Amino acid sequence: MLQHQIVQSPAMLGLANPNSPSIPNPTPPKLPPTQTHHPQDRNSSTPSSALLSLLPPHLRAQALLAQMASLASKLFEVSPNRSLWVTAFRGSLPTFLSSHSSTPLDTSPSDGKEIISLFTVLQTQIFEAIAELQEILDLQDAKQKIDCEIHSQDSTLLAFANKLKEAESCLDILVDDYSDYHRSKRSKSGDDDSMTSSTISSQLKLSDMLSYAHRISYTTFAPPEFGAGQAPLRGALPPAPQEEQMRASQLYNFADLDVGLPKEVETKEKIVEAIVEPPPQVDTNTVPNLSAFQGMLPPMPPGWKPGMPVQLPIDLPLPPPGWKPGDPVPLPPMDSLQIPRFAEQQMQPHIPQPKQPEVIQVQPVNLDLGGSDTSDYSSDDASSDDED
Amino acid sequence: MDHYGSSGGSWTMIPTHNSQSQSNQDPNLFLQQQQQFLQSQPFQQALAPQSPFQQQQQQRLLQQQQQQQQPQNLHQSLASHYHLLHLVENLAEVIEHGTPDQPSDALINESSNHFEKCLQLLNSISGSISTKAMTVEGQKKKLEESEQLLNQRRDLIGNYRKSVEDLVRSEPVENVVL
Repeated sequence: MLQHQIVQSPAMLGLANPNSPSIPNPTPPKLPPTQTHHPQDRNSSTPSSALLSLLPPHLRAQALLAQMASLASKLFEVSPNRSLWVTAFRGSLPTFLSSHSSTPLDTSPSDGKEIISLFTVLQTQIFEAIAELQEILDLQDAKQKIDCEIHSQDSTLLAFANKLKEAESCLDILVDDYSDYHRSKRSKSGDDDSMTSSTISSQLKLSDMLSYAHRISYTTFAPPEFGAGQAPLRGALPPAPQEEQMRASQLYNFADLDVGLPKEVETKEKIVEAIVEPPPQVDTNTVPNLSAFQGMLPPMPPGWKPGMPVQLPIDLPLPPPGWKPGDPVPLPPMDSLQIPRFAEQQMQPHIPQPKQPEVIQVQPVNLDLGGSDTSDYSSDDASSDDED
Repeated sequence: MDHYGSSGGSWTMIPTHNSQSQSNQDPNLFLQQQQQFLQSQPFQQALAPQSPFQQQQQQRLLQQQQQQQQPQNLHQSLASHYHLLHLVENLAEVIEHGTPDQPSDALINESSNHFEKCLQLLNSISGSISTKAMTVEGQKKKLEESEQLLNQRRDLIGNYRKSVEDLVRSEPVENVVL
């Protein structure tokens, strides 16, 4: 150990030059490894040094600085010229870091060389402590940056949460508007249904009722005398409608009325009116109807007017013996009679059938009445005119 | 890690205030200003009683330190303040072989000032770190905790971003349905 120290001392003394005290000593930036430091520490064999290495870097640096100051002050005490320095400083030797002058040293160096070697060890240790402090400061700076980034991330999350809340409120408003629109749409469709149903029901009921009433009234109505049983059914066969039946029908007068229904309903009413058309042709009271039938009947005598009696031809054939109303009548083979019947069939085929029974029924009545009173004859002619 | 110190002063203080929970920026700035104000007073008080000659010496030292500090990083600039061995070696040489005269007095004063400066620097460092008992392992643990918090927030933001992208992607389909 002493040889090691002796070897180091001359080199340092050689490097040190009293003429230039302010020149800094270049020390390599990299500190010696820990393994190299431990042997030196063990060589010192001081328990305080061992405990010192366990301190945190800041406290360790403070303790090391105090020991270095004490060692520097120790130089004056171990100097051969101590009496000279005491005289120069007037009794009190100078001290470094006066606030830490009371720090005790672990060892008692006897000369300057030993102090320099101890100082070298302390210099190495304080460099390590300072390096650790620097590392702590760097890590602390890095942590500060991370904290700033955390703060910015939190701000971003807060802004996102606010935007999300605004979006939620907008969606709530849209949902409310949509629900109102949906309700209004439903009410509109309901109105359409009600209109459609009302139209269908009105068409069905009104047109069907009218057509049904017309049909049943014309085909089933009977004269009150016949219904009551007071008079026999004369001049008509059910269910065919007759003049008396049609006159008694109350709905006959409504056939031409305009009810004010839509076009479809009017079309149906026109069809109903077409069914009603045949009865006016059968009516013989009006003059145009009589003029239409003139072609079929024999020509009227000159000067005749409606209401005047008509004299029937005398040469008509008599009914066969034993004939009664309702019995079939064989037609005579005369050409004059056949020709007008054929003309009737050509002009109006459906009218001749009811026409024949009327002609046949009139003859016996005329013969019986012609033989008796004149007034009875005139009344029979009027009735025959009505029938024709 | 490379950190360049500012060229304004002898030592650049890194103002940081640790807190595991979230803290607002305004109180942090107030604390930083308070620390700077407190730390600047002892330095000025130390300069007041010095003589003009000592002030010149200190200015020269400051210039040398500034020149050394600019090209180097903060790590070396911080450690360079503690190069005390050459001073003590020169001091030992003067004490053993020299005589009390003007150069020896100047050297003794220079050494004394350097020790005081190192102590002030150490005190300012204690103001920068959270506690004096802080170690490298302790600071690393705190850094890891902060990194975990940051990763949590990044994961949350990633999840939210993914959710929003899914909603945006599905939005056209909803429009078609409407």
